[in-house]
Amino acid sequence: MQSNHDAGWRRWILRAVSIAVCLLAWQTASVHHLNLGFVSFVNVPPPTEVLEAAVDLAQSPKSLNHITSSLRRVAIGFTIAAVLGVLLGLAIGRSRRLGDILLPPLELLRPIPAVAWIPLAVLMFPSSEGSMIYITFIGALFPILLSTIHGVEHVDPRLIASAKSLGGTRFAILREVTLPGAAPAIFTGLAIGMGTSWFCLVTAEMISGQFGIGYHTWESYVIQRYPDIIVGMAVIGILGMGSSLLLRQLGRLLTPWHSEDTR
Amino acid sequence: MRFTSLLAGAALSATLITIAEAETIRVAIGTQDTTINTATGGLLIRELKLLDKFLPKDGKYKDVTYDIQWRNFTTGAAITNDQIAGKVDFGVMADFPGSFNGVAHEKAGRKSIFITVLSGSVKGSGNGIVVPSASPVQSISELKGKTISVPFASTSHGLLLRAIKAQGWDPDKDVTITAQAPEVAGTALQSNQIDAHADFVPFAELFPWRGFARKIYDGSQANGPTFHGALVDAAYAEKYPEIVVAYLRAALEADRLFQEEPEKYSELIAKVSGVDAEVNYLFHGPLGLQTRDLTWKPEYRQAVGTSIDTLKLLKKADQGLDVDKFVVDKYIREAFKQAGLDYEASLKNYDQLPLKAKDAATGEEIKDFKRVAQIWVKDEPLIRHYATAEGALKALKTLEAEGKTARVFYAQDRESGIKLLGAQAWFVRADNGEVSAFLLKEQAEKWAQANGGKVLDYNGARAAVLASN
Repeated sequence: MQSNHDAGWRRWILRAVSIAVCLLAWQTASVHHLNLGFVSFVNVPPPTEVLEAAVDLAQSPKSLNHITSSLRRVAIGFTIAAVLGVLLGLAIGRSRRLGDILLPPLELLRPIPAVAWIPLAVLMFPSSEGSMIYITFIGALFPILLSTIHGVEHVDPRLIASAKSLGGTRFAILREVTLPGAAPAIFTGLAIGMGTSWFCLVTAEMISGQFGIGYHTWESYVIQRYPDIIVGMAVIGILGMGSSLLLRQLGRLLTPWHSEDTR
Repeated sequence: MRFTSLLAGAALSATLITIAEAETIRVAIGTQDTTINTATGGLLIRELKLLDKFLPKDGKYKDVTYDIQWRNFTTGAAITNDQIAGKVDFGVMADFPGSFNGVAHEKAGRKSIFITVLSGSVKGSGNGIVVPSASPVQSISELKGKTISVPFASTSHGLLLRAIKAQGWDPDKDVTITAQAPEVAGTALQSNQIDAHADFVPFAELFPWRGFARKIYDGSQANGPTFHGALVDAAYAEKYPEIVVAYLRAALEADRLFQEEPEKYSELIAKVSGVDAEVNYLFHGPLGLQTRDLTWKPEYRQAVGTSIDTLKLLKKADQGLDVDKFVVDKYIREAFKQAGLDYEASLKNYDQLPLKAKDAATGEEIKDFKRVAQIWVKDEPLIRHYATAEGALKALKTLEAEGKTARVFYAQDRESGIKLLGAQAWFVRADNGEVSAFLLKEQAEKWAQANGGKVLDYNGARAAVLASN
């Protein structure tokens, strides 16, 4: 147990060192205006400038608004996507006929990039908030849907057969066999969906903005404040990573039967 | 920091020298085709290949080959981004993004200069505020407490803040301002997601023309100058001043051609940019909404200064910019000289683009432009001009009786003189039959109260003129 604990710490230190080395390389490349021909750091602001911009943003009275607005949009869009994605995934995974009916239109919509949805999203929803939530929703939906289908289809058929032979009803089998069996895949899908939902945030907040970290990033581009753009990118990265991690932890708690991933 | 900037500058000059040795000089121009008032500095030069005509081919340019690169962008910010990255030499944009361009270059340890105005309005026409067609709002005073979207940090953002200030409102409390790009706003107006939208050329006219919005405020009401112009990298200009002058001569030539045949070039701009010819003519035609003015009037210099100040107020710029050094008029003066034009005379000329025409109905020379109206008949190459709105309305009736269709009916605002889309204008018909046009309903009502007459919309005015026959 003790050695396990030490190894854990060592891994965290290694991870932190990895990030520090990346930052140092970036700082060096920016400060020395590194130009490799095919890629150039001549105009890329160094981390120190980005840090200054981050401090500025943190001290601005708007920063909390930026973050809560974005969190709310992603939370709502993601929640709707999670409910719809899992329900549809279960239905499609369990029934071949439902799959034939539901999957083709969904497969058609899946490759459409979020940015292409902007005009329709604006037309279809009465408020710009609705349009933005729709974009974060569409970003999250498909990974959740596909993972759920995958999870359901890979539940051991022998388990289902046994449950049936023991007289399990369709609903009981769904609740007691299929859902627990598919749960690890569903949580993987949810974690990926959370990431892609954040991925679409800048696109969503391009629609209309006053607050939102994606909007802040876009606004900074319009006025060429490059350090602020990177701050926005970093905040999205951190929030996205954080919420995905939370989901994974939640998944582990809720699926104790699933062998712990020891990587 | 300064040292590294110097290094960057040296590296840049070094690359430029290598380019010259290879005897290929890049002339990369970032245009904004849909921002149609920049046409004489971009779209038209490209389409008519005017640069080839003026690029120097003697002296130190004897054996040079030119690598002309045209790149189209939808915002000034995107052009600036490419300029900073060293991919574009010239860029066309408005006062606001232009100022950012200067600041961004300074931050990067470089310098850009504003070399010319292409089109603008010393009063502010070109920017405007529109509402959804079905909205009951008729004037800006009714927008208190409403949501207004505007392209962030654009010249129209400046107008909106100015207009709100003129109302005595607090932009943070009395209205909700949200940032929105024109293309998104067009859709948002159609789905009533926003109460109003402020925008720059051509959107405050294009959206009404397309039929889903109505203009309730013209930039000139706020009386703050606005313009679109061209910038160039200062190091590039220093190295190749002749090329900068050649570009400006091409712009002057495009301006001259447009002046000669406004209808033809309005159609050309429409074909390339997708912005309807009727809207292009509204801006570029005689008595148009803006003037294609290539001189640095003090008002335009002031517009550059104002935009920096506004952005400092918004806490979006922490750095000032020396306007006197940023605006450089020596290249445009040289271009005027080479073209045999009088810069000083143009500098002092504040008139609208002149209309020299005979009344299509009476055949008389038009001398008073207060009540001029124009009809562009479908399939006709030239617009018909009329000295009076009632004359034009009568002619319209005759034309329609002949089975002809009017593409557009223009009138001039009786008070401000700006060109209006007739179909959305307000009219006052005096008892003697004289018809005056106005942008705003309240303006028309005031006029009718003071001078007598009846306030009518476009259809009302048409019917009234018919009834009087």
